[in-house]
Amino acid sequence: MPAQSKSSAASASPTPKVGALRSLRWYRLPVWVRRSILLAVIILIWQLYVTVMDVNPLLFSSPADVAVAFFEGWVRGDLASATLITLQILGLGMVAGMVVASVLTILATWSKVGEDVLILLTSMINPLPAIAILPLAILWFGLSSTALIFVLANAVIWPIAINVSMGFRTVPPTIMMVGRNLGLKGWKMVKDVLMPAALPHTISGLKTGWAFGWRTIIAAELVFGVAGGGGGLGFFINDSRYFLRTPDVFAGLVTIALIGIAFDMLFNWIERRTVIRWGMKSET
Amino acid sequence: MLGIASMKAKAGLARAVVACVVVLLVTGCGGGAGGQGDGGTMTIAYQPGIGYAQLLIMKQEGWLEEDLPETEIGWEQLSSGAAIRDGMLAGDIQVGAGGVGPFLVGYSGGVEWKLLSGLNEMDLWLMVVDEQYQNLSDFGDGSIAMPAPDSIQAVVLRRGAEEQLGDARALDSNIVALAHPDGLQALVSGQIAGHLTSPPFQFQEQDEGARPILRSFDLFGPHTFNSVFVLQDYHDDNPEQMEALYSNIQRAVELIEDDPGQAAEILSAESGGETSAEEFEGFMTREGVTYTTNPREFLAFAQFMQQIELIERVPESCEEIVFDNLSADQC
Amino acid sequence: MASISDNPDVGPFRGTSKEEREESGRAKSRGRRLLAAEHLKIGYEVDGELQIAVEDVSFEVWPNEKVMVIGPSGCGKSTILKTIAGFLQPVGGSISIAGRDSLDPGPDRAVVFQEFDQLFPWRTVIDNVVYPLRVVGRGKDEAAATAKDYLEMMGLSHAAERFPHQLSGGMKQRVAISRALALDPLMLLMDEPFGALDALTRQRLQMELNDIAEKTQVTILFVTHSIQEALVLGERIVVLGQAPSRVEEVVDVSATSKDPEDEEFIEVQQHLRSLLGVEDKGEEANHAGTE
Repeated sequence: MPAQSKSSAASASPTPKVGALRSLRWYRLPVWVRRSILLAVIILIWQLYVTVMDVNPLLFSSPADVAVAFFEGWVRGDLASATLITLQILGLGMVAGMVVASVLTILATWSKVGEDVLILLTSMINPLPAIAILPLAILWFGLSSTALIFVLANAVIWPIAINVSMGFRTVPPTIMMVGRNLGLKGWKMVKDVLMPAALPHTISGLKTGWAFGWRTIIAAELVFGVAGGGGGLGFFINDSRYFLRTPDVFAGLVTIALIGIAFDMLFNWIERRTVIRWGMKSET
Repeated sequence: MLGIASMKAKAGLARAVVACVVVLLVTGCGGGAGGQGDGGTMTIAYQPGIGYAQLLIMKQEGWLEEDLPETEIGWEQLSSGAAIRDGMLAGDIQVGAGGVGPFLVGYSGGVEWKLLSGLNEMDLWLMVVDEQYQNLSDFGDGSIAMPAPDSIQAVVLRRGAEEQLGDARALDSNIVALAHPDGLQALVSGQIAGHLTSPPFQFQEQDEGARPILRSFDLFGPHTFNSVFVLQDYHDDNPEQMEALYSNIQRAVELIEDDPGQAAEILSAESGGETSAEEFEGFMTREGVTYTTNPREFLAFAQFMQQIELIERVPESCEEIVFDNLSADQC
Repeated sequence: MASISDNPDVGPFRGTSKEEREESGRAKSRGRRLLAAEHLKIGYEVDGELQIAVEDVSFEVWPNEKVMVIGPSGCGKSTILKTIAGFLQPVGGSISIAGRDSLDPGPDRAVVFQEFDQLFPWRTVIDNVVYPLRVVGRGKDEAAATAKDYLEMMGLSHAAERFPHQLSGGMKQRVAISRALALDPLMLLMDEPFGALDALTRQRLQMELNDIAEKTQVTILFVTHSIQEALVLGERIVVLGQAPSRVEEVVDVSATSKDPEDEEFIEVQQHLRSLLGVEDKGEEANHAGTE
């Protein structure tokens, strides 16, 4: 009896610490906290594994070594210039791809033949891994960044074109009639009605296109292998591998991942400011 | 809602974690410095080209299989010295054959290996087709292809640049990495300005009208091109295999010197008839090609590579990089 | 929830009387028929064949009138509206709008559709009204002021900066009506604009539309499948038959009471029911319950 009243007395005047701990549930923490904790745990396990198993540093670097290599790489400027070069080529490739995609999309929207051509080309060329086209590109354009840009554009065109043309085709007919009711025609209709209405698909296409492009450029650089002065991230990793600078290889990979994450965040931000804000796409 | 369901999920998660840990432990033990081969296995890795003639002859004639009936002999062709090095580190390959560059890079990076035998000395040429290229200063923007960033060719070019242009790195932005056959095609079709390669590709290019404007023997004197290297641990644990390997390499050298026709036949057979015995014989007897088991000029290359900051550590003496079946006087 | 403002000091018509507006409305169209549809024949191509939806329909719309078009499902009433709007071309017959024959789509016949997604989701409420004004050539400031006025009149000022997806169905339709009215069109074409709303909101909007019509003296051509709605809103009701349709009768209800309890109302309602046949009975049952 006395024990019971004791415990009831304890729960009557709650101790804040115990109460808070009890209500501490994983799913209640904010997203970024959960992700950061998981990341820290992964890095810890990684470090422990390397240290305890005495892994050959030439095969597998510890997070500490990678961090040092990463930091030094940026300070030295190698990683920075390599990243910049890769991003530049990617940028050019994406612009080229977007231009061609726009033309194809316009043709596909204005005529049935155009739509058929687009679907046919996409089903034939899209499945080809861009790397497979690289030797051909080198034959045609020589050992220059033009070949890389060609390969990139090819990887990027199809997802963009297909998505944007789908976006145009699925504009609600009511909205189109509203536009016509206002007397809109031709370019004005495209600019003021079709393009905003197709924005969710356009962004989706750009996201996919960018993802393909990023993976393609890294892989192409690995294969293409410009040596000596001025290569991109793929080349940086390849070169580090040849010269047994394993931490640099990892640092290069970390950079690739970080940039991937950065662009994902950029796209998400764009979506939040536009299509999510307008209720045209639900937040995932 | 979360209570009961999560208990089951937690149990499942725990099992998964245990499984992961077990896998990691197993791989952690398996991978690593690749000490000894799997008891009775010896995998030998080499690269394409007549620089590996001795190994190809041994492979075709089955000499090792005869001398080492208890050992399972494997033969693998890989595309680069770096790939062979990675395979050795992972424990898949026990005996590697490759150029001077990858060996020294490995040494500098801390790979514990040494030379078991040289394979050859070959004069490496920078081939050009266009009339406008007479010297290294003529290249401008033109591309110069070589097999890999860590290859001996990359070192040779730097040395040439240092001598002719005063700056070892002067031509760095011209360098393009292409495998030998790709470089051959690119040079002949006019896509690149120069190709620093090796026999037989430079001979094939010469037959197509190209000419050499830089020769490695002029810069370094006669030097090793390819050699055979083994990790210290494996070497120490397998003396019988090492003995068999070295003696058969010597046997192949004798065959090449005494009866080049016969050697060429064997090589042609090994290539599946793709290259004729005649062609092989032509390549092997051309100027600047010598088959020998003595390594030469490794220290000079190492020092130059350190000087241009391609590697950090260099061997001080031959003892550090040759096994005791070789003489430590010269490497 | 605020709805159409009765306050005469609010909205674009502040300072004018009903008579004044009536005058100016008629003056605008010079007393001519606004719309004359003569022997309209409209068809769709289905699998290569021409299906006739509308066989022979003729009617007129005069300035400031509220004309309802009613008929069984599939009789082509929406089709007629779309043809008048210029989205479709008739196979036979003619349409003239304020004396003009050629029919491209244009803001002189502003349309209010049934679907909620007729608003541009990427524009705010006020922007949805401003943009059409800019398209027809109004200046930036003028458009902004006009839009503000109409939103005020419709009781939407508090929602001006919201996006369409944040509005209820009733509010969205109000915005669509504001947008159409702000264009000061020759006539308002309304294609079952309240069809997707719940009964209560529908009733409220019907009352608001009547208020607006009185305030602005706008001419309305309204398509509906509901007899009740036709009687509450309309002055003349064009009754169509089944597809391929013709005009069964044009019923003048400008003098009829709007009170559903009234004998007069019920009489006309019965008459219309019989014209339309059994199909509408179930419909009526719904509406009877909510009256």
